[in-house]
Amino acid sequence: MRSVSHADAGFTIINAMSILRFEDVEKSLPFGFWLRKKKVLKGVSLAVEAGEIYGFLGPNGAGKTTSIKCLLGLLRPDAGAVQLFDEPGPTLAARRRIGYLPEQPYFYPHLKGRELLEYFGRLFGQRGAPLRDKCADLLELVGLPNDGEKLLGQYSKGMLQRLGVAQSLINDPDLVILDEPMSGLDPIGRREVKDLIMGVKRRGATVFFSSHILSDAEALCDRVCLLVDGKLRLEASVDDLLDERVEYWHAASEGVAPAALSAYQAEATQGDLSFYRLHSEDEVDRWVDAVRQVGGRVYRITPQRATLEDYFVRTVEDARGSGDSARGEAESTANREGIGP
Amino acid sequence: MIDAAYSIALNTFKEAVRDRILAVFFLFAILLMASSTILSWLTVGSELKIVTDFGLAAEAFFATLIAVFVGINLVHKEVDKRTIYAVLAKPVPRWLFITGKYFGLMAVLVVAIALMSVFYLGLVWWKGGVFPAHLLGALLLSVAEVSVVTSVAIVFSSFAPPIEAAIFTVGVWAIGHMSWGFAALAERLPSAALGNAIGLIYYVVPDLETFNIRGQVVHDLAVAPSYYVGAFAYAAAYTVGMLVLAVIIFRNRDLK
Repeated sequence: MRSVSHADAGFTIINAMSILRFEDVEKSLPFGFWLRKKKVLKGVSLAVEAGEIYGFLGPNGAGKTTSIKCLLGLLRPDAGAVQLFDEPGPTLAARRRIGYLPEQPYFYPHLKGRELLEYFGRLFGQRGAPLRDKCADLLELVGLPNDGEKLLGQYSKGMLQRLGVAQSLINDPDLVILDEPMSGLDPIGRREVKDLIMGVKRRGATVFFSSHILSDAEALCDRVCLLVDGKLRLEASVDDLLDERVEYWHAASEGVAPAALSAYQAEATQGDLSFYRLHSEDEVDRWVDAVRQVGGRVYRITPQRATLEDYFVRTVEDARGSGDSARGEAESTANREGIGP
Repeated sequence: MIDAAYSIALNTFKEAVRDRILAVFFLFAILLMASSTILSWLTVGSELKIVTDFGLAAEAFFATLIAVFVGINLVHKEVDKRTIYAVLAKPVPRWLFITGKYFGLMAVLVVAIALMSVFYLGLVWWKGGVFPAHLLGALLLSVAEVSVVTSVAIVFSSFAPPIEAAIFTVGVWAIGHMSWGFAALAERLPSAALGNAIGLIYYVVPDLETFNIRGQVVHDLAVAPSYYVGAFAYAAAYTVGMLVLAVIIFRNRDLK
């Protein structure tokens, strides 16, 4: 819990409740035949507040899954600390309040869907009829009401992902940690998982999810951070990022040959239409006047705002020096080292 | 805690019994025991002894085989297949995970030994009409032996891939059945240092011959109750020791 003390006023304002906190977390992991250590996390610090949906974004190989594993005690940080609720690290008491969906959930193929949920429920001390009812409700919630008696070996990837979400809710968690929950899902599956995440938030829980699918993060998250090569490069609310200025205007004229507007470079033409990219409001005004002067018609002017993807790409490129080579390097590093996202 | 341990044990049990390999082992065990009746035709007047001896050996061998083949995968497979992440992210301490795995495999082995024993005892009854004294004791001691072998397999499974874990476990099993030889050798060696080193193997590797009373059963010799008490206490102590070692190794392991 973070608090600001106002000694003069004689009271304390609690301005934020951190559910989850990384403090300068560093982690190196061994790779390759000689098990040479490579620093995967280089001092990650962030805090997630109660009740928000927090997007943990980054390209493949950035260290997202490694961070989540440090959070859950599957990996031990070399330096720094993680805090969950008021607990120092992933204590049993903290883990009792967490739901976790691993990246690409591999569950026991010898179990049936219902059995898997009952298995995980019993790990939380649940049992008997209440547990059976809970499992049936969760199967219903994730759209698998008739698949509980099928072996998981017969489940499709999307079904496994949905069952993974169901198991992460078996203990009515206060914090749900989802590692790439949308990966491998078709558009309908992604929509369903998005709805589930919104449902979790409505229930009052906090959601921390990693993803590299930016449209999903844009649609869901209150705040996002961007991890690149083991370092946090950006942390902001999605509204702050997307409410910034218009990047440029997309304009189209009708009935004017591009040669007649020689001061402007047309990006493309289609029949009677010509398309332009304009970079300021003044330029838009001048372009409108110019079109009218030559007897043409303004067909369309659309302001273009930056998407989360624009910020993502720009930040990654800034962090790595150059665009294409950086992305290529990131992918080849991930492939070569076998690093998870 | 008990619910969680039971849940892990139950899952381990289900995984093993739903695997075809267990049925194959079981079938081979039954065939091997049945083949002892053919062997017994070659002897005169000692058919019961052949069936008793051969059947007990077959049962112990196949129970050990199951313990090794399932045991070496117990922890490694969970890490390799990434099923362990969702389990250990829940309020499950690592020692509980190891303990649950051990009890799950032991449940498999007890059921397997019980089922093989039903067939085996039927065979013995058919051949002799009586059960040799200490037959039940011999079967219970085979449970004690597989408990030790399982705990050794779990230690190796907690840090090594299956092939290495299998080699180590089978090695310990093989040496464990001739560890008395290491004790005798240690006494006869001229070099005290070498003798101590060889003697150390005797003390570190389990003495699995402790759990073999086939000779006494076949020849109807007496086995003192205190022998059973000592053997079971030894098995319990060794098993607990190995499980503690497995927990120490696994507790500090990064699950990459």
